[in-house]
Amino acid sequence: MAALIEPHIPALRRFAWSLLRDGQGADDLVQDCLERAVGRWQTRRADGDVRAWLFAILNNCFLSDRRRDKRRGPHLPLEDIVVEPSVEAQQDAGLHYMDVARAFEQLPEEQRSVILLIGIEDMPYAEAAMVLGVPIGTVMSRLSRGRERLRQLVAGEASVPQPTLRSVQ
Amino acid sequence: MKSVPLLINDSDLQAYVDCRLNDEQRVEFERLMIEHPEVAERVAAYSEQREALRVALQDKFNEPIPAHLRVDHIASGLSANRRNRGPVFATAAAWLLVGVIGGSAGTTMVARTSAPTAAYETRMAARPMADALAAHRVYVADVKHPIEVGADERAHLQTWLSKRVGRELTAPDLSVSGYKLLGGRLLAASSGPAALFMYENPKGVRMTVYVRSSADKDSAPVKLIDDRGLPAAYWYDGGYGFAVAAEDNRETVFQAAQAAQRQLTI
Repeated sequence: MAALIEPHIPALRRFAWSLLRDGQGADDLVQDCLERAVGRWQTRRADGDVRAWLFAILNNCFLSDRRRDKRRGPHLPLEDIVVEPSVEAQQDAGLHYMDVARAFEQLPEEQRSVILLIGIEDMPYAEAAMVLGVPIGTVMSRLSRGRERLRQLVAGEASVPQPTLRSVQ
Repeated sequence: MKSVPLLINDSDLQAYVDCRLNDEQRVEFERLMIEHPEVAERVAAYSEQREALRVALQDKFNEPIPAHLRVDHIASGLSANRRNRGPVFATAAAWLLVGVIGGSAGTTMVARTSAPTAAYETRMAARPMADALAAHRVYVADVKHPIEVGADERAHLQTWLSKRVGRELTAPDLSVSGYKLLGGRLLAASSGPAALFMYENPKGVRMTVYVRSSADKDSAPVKLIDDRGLPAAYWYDGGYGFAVAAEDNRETVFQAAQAAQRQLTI
């Protein structure tokens, strides 16, 4: 079981972190997810995909937490939460990665999840649909709308002076 | 905003960005892009944002898995953890509100209830072993009288606290985490007497180990929490609750808690 679940933990943490933008909250969420996954290990479909199953549990935990606490913690300033880029990324100014990360946070959660699952986790569209429990057409339209909105946000911010980058270890 | 020409299927556009078209489809799509530079522009922007996000999130992915998220650890504590959720937490919250640490509880509790600092706090409004965290904050800050009995009277300290708390206690050796025993004291928790052992590392950071009886008789493995910036770990064993806290990194606190658990389990 550990051998099948653990390879997915880094991706689960990355997904949770980018949804919550709070390291501790993200790990709490991953812990909830893993506890459920381990507890239900025997009841999962043996032929089912472990990754999709784990991400679906994580997403359900995330949504039920969201429903439970309507109030959100204060929004952390972006400088505090963006992961320090690698040296290569900093050198490649063409990526505007700070602009993109900032704009990404302004997208609705449903668009962020789709963009993350497909663009970052490389999930097939059908798998993302399964994880999120929505039809594949919904996944495609969220992906399309999210990416277009992100493009507009980034383009709109292009004239704004680059904020000072702050190192966060 | 320029609109995508109707002859270009938006799903194909996304699939192209995600490198999911087969060769034939890809060639066809690239031909269309030559005819429609506005589509090519959009594809370039989407590809760039996709790459930027991947770079931004790569470091998170590369982090080692924290010990408390390893499957073995989760599996070992699953049944106990489940029993400790729900109603038991509600009970803990109720007695927390009654006031737990003598006269000092008031101020600590005001801080607790009025300042939920992040989303994770609202998720876990009722903190298990909250009395231990309150005691930590109160006594660690006390420069002159952090302890009642010093480490030089270790045997006396252990006998005294064991007798009052009703369980054989040894002050755990936490040198594996770099902490040395300063001493300890007796406290009043709502469940009865509580023992507090205090430690210090060479940098002057203090760590506390807290023990008291618990209404919950189930055992539960070490679980790491973060209480408004104070990393702490707690567990239950044989009708007692245990907590370790220090303003140190989470891994160190977790490691110390595991060492303490081994030594405090009878």
